Amino acid sequence: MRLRAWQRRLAVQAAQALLAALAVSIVAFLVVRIAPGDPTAGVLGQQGTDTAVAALRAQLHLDQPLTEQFREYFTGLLGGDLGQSVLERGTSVSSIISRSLSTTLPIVLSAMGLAVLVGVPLGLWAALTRHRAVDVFLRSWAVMLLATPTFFVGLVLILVLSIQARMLPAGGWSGTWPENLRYIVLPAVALSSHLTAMIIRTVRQAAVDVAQDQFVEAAVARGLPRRVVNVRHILPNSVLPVVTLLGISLGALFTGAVIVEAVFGLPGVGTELVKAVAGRDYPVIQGIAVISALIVVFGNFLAEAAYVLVDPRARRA
Amino acid sequence: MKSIPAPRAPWRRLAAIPALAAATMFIAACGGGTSSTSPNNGTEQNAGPRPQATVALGQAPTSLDPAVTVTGFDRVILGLVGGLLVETGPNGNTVPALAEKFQMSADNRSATATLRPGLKFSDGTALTADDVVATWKRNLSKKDSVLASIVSRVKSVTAKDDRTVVFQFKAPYASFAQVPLAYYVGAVYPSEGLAKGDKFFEQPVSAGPYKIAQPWNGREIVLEANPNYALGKPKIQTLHLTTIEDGNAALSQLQTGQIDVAYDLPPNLVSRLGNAGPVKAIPRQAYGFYDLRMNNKTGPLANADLRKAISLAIDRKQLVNVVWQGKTSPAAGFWPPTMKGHETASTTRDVVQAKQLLAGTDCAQGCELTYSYSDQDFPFAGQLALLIRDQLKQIGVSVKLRKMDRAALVDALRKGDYQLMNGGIFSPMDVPDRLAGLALQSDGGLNAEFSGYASKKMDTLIQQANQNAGSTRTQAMSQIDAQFHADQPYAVLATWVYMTASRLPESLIKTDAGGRIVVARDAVR
Repeated sequence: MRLRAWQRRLAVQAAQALLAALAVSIVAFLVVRIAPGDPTAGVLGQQGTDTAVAALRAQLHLDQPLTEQFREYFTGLLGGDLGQSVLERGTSVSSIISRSLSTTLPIVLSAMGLAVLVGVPLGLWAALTRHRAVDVFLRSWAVMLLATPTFFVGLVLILVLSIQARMLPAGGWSGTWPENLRYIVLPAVALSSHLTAMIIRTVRQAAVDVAQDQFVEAAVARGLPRRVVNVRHILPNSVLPVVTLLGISLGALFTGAVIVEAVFGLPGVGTELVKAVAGRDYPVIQGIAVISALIVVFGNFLAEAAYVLVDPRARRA
Repeated sequence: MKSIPAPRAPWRRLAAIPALAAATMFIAACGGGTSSTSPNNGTEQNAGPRPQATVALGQAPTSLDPAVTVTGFDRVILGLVGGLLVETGPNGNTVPALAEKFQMSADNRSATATLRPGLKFSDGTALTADDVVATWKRNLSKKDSVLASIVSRVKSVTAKDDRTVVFQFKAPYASFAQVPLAYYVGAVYPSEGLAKGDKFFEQPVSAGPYKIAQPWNGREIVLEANPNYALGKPKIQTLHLTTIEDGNAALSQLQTGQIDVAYDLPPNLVSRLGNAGPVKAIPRQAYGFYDLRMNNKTGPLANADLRKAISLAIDRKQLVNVVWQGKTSPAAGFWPPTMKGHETASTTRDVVQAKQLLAGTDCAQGCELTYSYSDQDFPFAGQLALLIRDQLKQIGVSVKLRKMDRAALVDALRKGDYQLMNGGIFSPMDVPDRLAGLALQSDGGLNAEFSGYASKKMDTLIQQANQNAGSTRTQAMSQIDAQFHADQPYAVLATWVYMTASRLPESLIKTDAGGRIVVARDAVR
């Protein structure tokens, strides 16, 4: 069976996703073991006696050769078993990841949605008012957002909207829906700040280019009202790069979530990862690395698929 | 030339994303202001009973199995849930709890506890002497238990009848009532539950003031007042113990009333609170100290004169004012001023004498020492390291800072791969055993606070302090302090302090000098 070009592209992406996950799982396994210190430091802390350390190492199979440890880890991974947490005794890595993802994913998705919601209209507005005061202001604002660290945005939001205005919680997580919605707002706004700025700039540039295309000129020549030209012709063609941008940004948003979770005291993947790295909880570090890689790769895959779906030119390419 | 046709309205599909986000934000915005566990959001409560309170801990629980846990935060939970035969009274002394009578033998070689009649665990089952014996059997026999060093002096535990338990010790054990009995280690668990194995400790049942209503779910653990508690109902019915690892985030949530108490905050954040407002910083000096560890085994610090010179060159007053915001006291002696029998040592800086002591050491003409630290165990470690570096520069000792993460630091400690390092150690009770055992005894498990210090004379003095009570103990403690100054295995800097920030009055909930969270309760019926 002969695949079409776009189908081949998606198939290649899927294969790349699997390879990336495999590479990440191997690198994660090796890197955590190269770093000084091991899980006994996290579990027993400074008060671990030599006997207790030796016993725990045996219990965690850390006294076995690296190849044997890898075989055990990889066999489990293929069977979908990410192992047990070393620090949080009796808890499986998959349950730690799923409970922390239930905090991180809504925040990341809300941040993406918010960035699109704010960034696209503002980008278009900037393009339509090119070189005028609004455009200059919006571009300056975008640069300022890009230059401001996410944690600082978060702290300002807490200070103004939580501590001073008492409008929204200063952090934390309710754990139940729809109560969680109130807790999402500030972290999502903080996390979306960089992406919003990038979308403003991307949409503005794309809209400026599209406005000079022949089909826009044709639409104007046919006497279509300016509003219709903007909304039906320029806007749809300007947001296409945003799809790619969202796919690329997924990884950055996950990384940014580590900071945002710390600022807002959220029990997300970033918090778990920081805790696991500090305590050398090998199974949790490996599990989070693999799952995060899969999510990022899958996000890129989705972005590619969405692009093919919304742009007929991509299907023909 | 064929022009590219305009694609047909793909934006309609894309529009779903912002629309969804808009809906989310709208619902969120409709949610209104901040929630609070305080009924009158933002004002300090009186000490009357409350339906609930939220306490933020800096670390998630790792295990509620006393034989496994090593974190102070797990111990806080176990301290609220565990039923103790004796407990710490308001003055740091031990008072009867589940035991109506507790008697040490005259020679401190055995003890007898008589249980109150009609005791029940939180699940309603009867608590008898057999449960105490089963608990201690596990404490004494559990393989790889972290309790081994604490319970090692207990020889046997037997039930004389349903209400009487007899403890036999391998050697005189004057502090047994304090550590381990009044510590989380002394909590009694049902023999039936213990028979289920380690799984029982996923949601342990005991007979303390609280019971676990909801186990750890990644966000919080919920404790409910134990209806069967023998010593009066706690004045807070439900305690939500949540985790906020970042001290700043905890303070923010405290200020907005989302949480009521932030436990064990980094002291350098306290200045953020100011003096006004409903949130108060409550420092509680503990039975312990912060110290500057020195590697006694290798390198220039094997020379006691150099260690003494460093100790003399440290301006403890400055450290306390900057790092601990003046909320603790400078200390140089081994026993913290919070402990009975301590002796006040001079904390005055003496650069001239420090320089004199340097003569004849490897640092006589100046030297460089490496200072390792991690701000994961002590959030103020970086600030402390910078100050000490500046202070030691004045006696010609140049300090190179080496920042590490927790695991790497522990690894370096175990290998003895360090020269200077900040540390700290504390005892949960006002008894010399734990502090001296871990921080000075050559075979005490921690290699004398990782210094490698080993002195037969010191070991003998520690044994005397452990085995005796009264004036004999006080005398031994005094001699330990003198020996500590003579050998100066490391430099004590300041008294350990628990910094709690709370919007609730101390008469309702507080942290005691042993690091336990104590909730006020009704008088015993």
